[in-house]
Amino acid sequence: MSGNSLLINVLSAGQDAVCNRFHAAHAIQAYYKNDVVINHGVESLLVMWPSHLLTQSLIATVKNLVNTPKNSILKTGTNWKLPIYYNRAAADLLEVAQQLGMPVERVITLHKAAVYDVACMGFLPGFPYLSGLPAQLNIARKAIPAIKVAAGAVAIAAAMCGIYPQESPGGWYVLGNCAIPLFDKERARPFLLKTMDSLSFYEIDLVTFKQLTQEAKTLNLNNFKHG
Amino acid sequence: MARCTLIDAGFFTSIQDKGRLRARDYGVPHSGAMDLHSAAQANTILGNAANTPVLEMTMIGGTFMFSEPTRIAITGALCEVAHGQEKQLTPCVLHIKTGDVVSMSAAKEGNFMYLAISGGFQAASYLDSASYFPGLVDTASMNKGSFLLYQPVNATRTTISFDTPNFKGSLKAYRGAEFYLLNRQQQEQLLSKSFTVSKNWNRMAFQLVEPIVNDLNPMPSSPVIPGTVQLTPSGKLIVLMRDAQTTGGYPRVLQLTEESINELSQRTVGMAVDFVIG
Repeated sequence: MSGNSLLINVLSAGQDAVCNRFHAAHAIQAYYKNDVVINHGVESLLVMWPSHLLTQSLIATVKNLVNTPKNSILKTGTNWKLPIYYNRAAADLLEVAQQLGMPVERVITLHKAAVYDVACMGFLPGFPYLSGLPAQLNIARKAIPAIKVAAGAVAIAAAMCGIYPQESPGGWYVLGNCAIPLFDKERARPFLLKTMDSLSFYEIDLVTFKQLTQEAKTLNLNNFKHG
Repeated sequence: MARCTLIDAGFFTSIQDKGRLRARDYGVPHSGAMDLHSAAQANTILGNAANTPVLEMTMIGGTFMFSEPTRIAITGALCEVAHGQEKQLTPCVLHIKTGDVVSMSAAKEGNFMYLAISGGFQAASYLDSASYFPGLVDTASMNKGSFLLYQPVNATRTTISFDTPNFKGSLKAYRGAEFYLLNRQQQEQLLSKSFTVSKNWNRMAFQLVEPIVNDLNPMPSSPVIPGTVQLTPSGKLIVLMRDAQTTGGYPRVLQLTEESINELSQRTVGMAVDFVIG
């Protein structure tokens, strides 16, 4: 689809913005079906449409849909529980504890107690920007990005959490490693997560982590859903 | 199936089509030919569908040997093409006989060259596109001695005219989502100043040399698309291109038109870039 695009900034900030944005995206997609492509940002939406739709009327319609009262119950995505291994001796985890002035154990407790929303996807194919990081864990990005962050690394920075789907350079602090591949081309569901999913982490030990990693290609993803 | 053997692969050579749009919300970049206009033109001239995979070469063209008759078209950056005793400049259409060798020079003007073949190259596709992107379509990275498969056709001679890329002139843009956060002076600077293509350019982005004053805060990650002009904390402008990430945290001050993205892709280091609204 070649054509036009429109960026919409959802005006309120924080969790309200996430909720408003999910509602707005639902309303726009329901109205236009497959005619438009919607991309999510943390507090904004991108709507792309083919050139056969008239720009002026589309903008007016989209604005109306965004401002429609949010009284419907929103159908959200999948609720995941993902296994994470925290290496208590890892340099990034020690650095985070030191900068935030709390013991490593406290960092881990806070991190795994939280429930995260996939606010949007970006950076790399399959990389989720997770909102819901406890305020106590807010830390600035590294001044100098690491050259190599491992696939599966669960990292935090700038009030968000993220999971690296593939090895890559990265400027976030790694707290642990997720044993479920976020992206696998061969899998029936190549991308594990999508915008509007939610997730929490449960801690596993190194032996379990290694075992799951070995079985990564054959894991039943349904075992990592809540409820 | 016929073979096109890469005697010399050229530089940063990859298979490209129009890219993947519908996986963007999983964080999958657009990809696709940097100069979509030239790539589409090469296909159109051969009667191929516009989205047929073509070879994209960067600054240096390749040398190819064909095992069966076909027709090829070479477009994009200006370069010299040697085919037997014949030498000509791009854009051109060549009628290939069994065993013919076609050799391309370095680009004389522009960055990206496109080689299309009748019926298209056989190429692995993922998420509706054969465009190379690490981890998605890896097989498209080209080396000396590797080969591509194509369906041979009997070439008939035709005369066709086509245009060359526009290497000069202002780039048309729309005001970006954060344009209005700039003050009057910054807005005027952005639209009146002449910028220069820096040596930092690739398929992800073209960075411009001259900074403008920037006092805007970074923002939460927001969608960006090819042609989005970002203003970085240091005041440098970065124009996102085909392989750019799908989200970015810098203010989006302008959005290039599709045509202007194609034009910018062919601007070489040190060339002037200026923006006009509309």
